[in-house]
This record gives sequence, C-alpha cells and structure tokens, in this order.
Amino acid sequence: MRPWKVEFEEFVRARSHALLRYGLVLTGNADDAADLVQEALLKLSSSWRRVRNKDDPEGYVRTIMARQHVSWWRRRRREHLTADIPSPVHDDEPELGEIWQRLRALPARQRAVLVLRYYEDLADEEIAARLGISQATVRSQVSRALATLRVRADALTGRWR
Amino acid sequence: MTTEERLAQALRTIADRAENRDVLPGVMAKQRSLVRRRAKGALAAVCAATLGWGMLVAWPAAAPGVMDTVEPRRNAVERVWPQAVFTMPGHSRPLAAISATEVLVWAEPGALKVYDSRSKRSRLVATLGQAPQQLAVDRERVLWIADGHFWVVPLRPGGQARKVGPTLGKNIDRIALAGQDVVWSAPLDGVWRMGIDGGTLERVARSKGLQLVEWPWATDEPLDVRTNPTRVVNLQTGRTIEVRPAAGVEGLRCGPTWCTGTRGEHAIVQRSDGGWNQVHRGLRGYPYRDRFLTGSGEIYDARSNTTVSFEGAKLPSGETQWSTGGGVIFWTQADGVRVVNLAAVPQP
Repeated sequence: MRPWKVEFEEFVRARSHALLRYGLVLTGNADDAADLVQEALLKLSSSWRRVRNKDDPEGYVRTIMARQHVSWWRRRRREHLTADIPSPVHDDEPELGEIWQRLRALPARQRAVLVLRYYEDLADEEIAARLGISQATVRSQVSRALATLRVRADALTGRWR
Repeated sequence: MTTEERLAQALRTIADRAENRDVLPGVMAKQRSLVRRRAKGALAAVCAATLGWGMLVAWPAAAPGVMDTVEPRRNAVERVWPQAVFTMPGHSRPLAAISATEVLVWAEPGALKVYDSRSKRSRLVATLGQAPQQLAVDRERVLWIADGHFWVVPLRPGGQARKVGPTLGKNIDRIALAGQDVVWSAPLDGVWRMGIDGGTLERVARSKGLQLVEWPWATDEPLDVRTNPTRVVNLQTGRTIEVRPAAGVEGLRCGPTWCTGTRGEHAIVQRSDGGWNQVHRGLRGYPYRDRFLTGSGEIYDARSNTTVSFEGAKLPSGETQWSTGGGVIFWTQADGVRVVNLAAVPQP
C-alpha cells in the first residue's frame, strides 16, 4: 500500500463521522450526507498529495461539500421533504422537528450559509471564501433565510419572533 | 433564547444524530467506477455506501503493491485464540468487549444487551431509539452520547438509563468511563471530566492540548495525519512517555507502549519509546488495551509479537469485509455473526 493511501485512509477513518455530521445538517438526510461525503473524499483522494501539504485537508473537504451540495441541488433538485426519509428528529420533539422542517425547506444556498455560520461558526468572510460568493451575498442570504424561518415560525406556532 | 441560538442548538443536536458509517468502501467504489468510466468512456454505476455498526472495513482480494501478509488461515484466530472466538445470533451486532465472556451488543429493533458467549444468552440493558454512535463501556456501566447529552446506564439487571449532562462542543470524538466520572476529549481541546452523578465539568489536570487514547492515557495528537505526537501522558499519575519516532517514520499514533505509523512504502509498528520497530501490513490507528492492532484481515498482538488471521465476510466483488467495535472484530456469516473478543485473549 502506498504511503499516501495509508495517510488518506487514516484521515477518512479519523474524520468521517465529523464530516457525516456536517453533511447531515447540510443535506437534510443521512443518505445524501454519505453520498456528499464520499464525493468530496473522492476529490480529496485525487488531490491528496497537494492538499496535505497545506495541512488542512478537512477544510478542503468541507469546502467541496458545501459547494457540491449547492451544485447538486441546482442540478438535481433532489430535496427530500417526504416522510419516507428517516428523520433524525424524534416524534416527541415537536419544536426541534419544526425547526428542522423549515431548515430543510430552505433553498440549498441559504441553508448552506446558515450551517456555515451557526454550525461551523464561520465569519462572513470565511463563508464567502468557502462558497465562492461575495460577503454581501452571504449577508443577504443569511438575512433572507433568517427572515423566512422567523416568518414561517410565526405563521406556524405564533411563538417565535 | 433568540432564534439564532435555537437554530445553532438545533443544528448541533441534529448533527450529533448522524450515523457513523464507514465511507471508505463507498469512496473506493467511486474510485473504481471513475477508473472504469475513464477507461471505457462509458457511464458506470456508482455503488452506494455500506452501512455498518462501528468501523466497517473492506480489503481487496488481490491488491498489487500491497505488502505481504500472513497466508490466509496459516495462523487462524480460531487456532491461536480459540477462547476468543464465538458465533452469536444474526439479529445482534457487537459494540464493545466487556470481559472475556461478555460483549455489549445492539439488538434490533432497538436494545442494548449484554451477550454472554459462555451461556449463549443475552440480557437487556436499555431500550433505545437508535444505536449509539459514540459509546464507552467498562465492567459496570455503558456511556453514550445522544441528543447532545451524555447518558449512562448500569450493566446490572434493572438499571435505569440516566442523562448525565450536556455535551459541550460539537467535536467530541473520544469518550470514556473513569470510575465515577465521564471523560471526553476533542481535537486539541484537552480532556474534560464530569461526575456520573452530575456536578460541574472541569478540564483534567495536565490535559491541555491532549486527546484521549485510552483512559487514563492521552496524547498530543496532531491534526495533520503525517505529523508525529511528542508525548503520551498518564493523566492520573502524571507519568509522561516521550514519543521517539523511528528513523523516517511519519504519522505515528501511540498508546503508552505501542505506536503505528508509516515509513516510505511501509506501515510500521514501533514502541513509543523508539526501542523497537517492525514492518506490518495495513496496521493503523491506536492499539486496543495498549496491545492489539487490527487491519487487512489480521490482528497483531504487539505484546506477544503474534499475528493471527481471521476470515471476514466474502463479498460477491471478491472483497473481504469485517467491522470493529471496542475490542471486538466481527462479520456476518451463514449461521450468525462471527465475533473475535480481544478481551478474551490471555496475557502472554
């Protein structure tokens, strides 16, 4: 086995669960998350020797995942909002379920900027770099997404601001 | 609480519920598919991910360039460690070794059980909605993470699962039971503890920048997979072992006595103090109980310098597949699930 392959496989084993967590909140379901992680790792494997020298293969993978997710959504429109996809939310968690349903209903790029800001804790500048868009676009997308969540929340429950 | 706070908490909670699949077989399948597409100029199907409990591994039937290994069945685990191998019913999957005769198992549709390989009986520990993704076990309790909290349940019959406290931070990737404490670590963030009965959390003394290996041992594991750590520390006694990489070895991952790494074309097992090293095929990662390493259809007992082979499940593609949990290696066969329990291997 070539050393780079050993390194790559070790990286995958060490970080795949973290990447699957990130993939789940990006895509909205476990199967798409696994597919997204595998596609990103496939790209990483072909660039491993170049990327590893920058000491941030995980940042590279997460960037690929965010962009790939938006790209897939545009191309395939494969959002699964039907009940046949196993949900990570339990039946006795109505509040979490409402947030999750609204998040999944957002356009992919709006959801991506929310995930990068509120899950990855990235600054607007970093979000812009990761998605390849301007900071102004990041701010507008976040603003629209939050507005949508709040409006829908108000409409559905009357409890949120 | 603002909407933004609710949103961040919801994202963390959902993320913590992501199933830990082994994605490597899927990546390898996509690589092969890509090669075929390029070679034939035609679209090929892309294989789906392989679902599994714990770490699921596949290795190819024939892989040019891979280092030599033990000949199949030459040193079969059934012959060398017969007391460590058993077959259990196919509707359960082992999660972790508890003792020489007991393993923690996940039984569909949703129960944690203790399976006794001697009596061939199991007893219920807890009923759960889904199998825990991060789990630790000792002889008295099971610990896992769910819904952003640590949960503990006694192994004794009739024990009740109890929520211990919220997990802080989203990158927790090692958890353990340490007497009356829950301990955990995240990359570069040190080792933290919280009492099983509640109370405040605190960073374990001397643990800043360290990651858990196996309690009470922790190490300054680098984020870069090529870089070597410098030390392994006993967080109870303060004893520190300086890691001395053998010449040219990169990417060491070390317990108190043994490390794995790579040197040029080879996978290496070496002593943490640099006193000994040897080439081994496919052995990577941290040793279980500072002793056992698993890879490529083999288990290496560094303490006795013994390598044994195991069969694994043969896939139609010609690959062989197996899964691992804490101290257990297992695969599905016609009459159930074949299990190697490393806690049953005697001291040399």
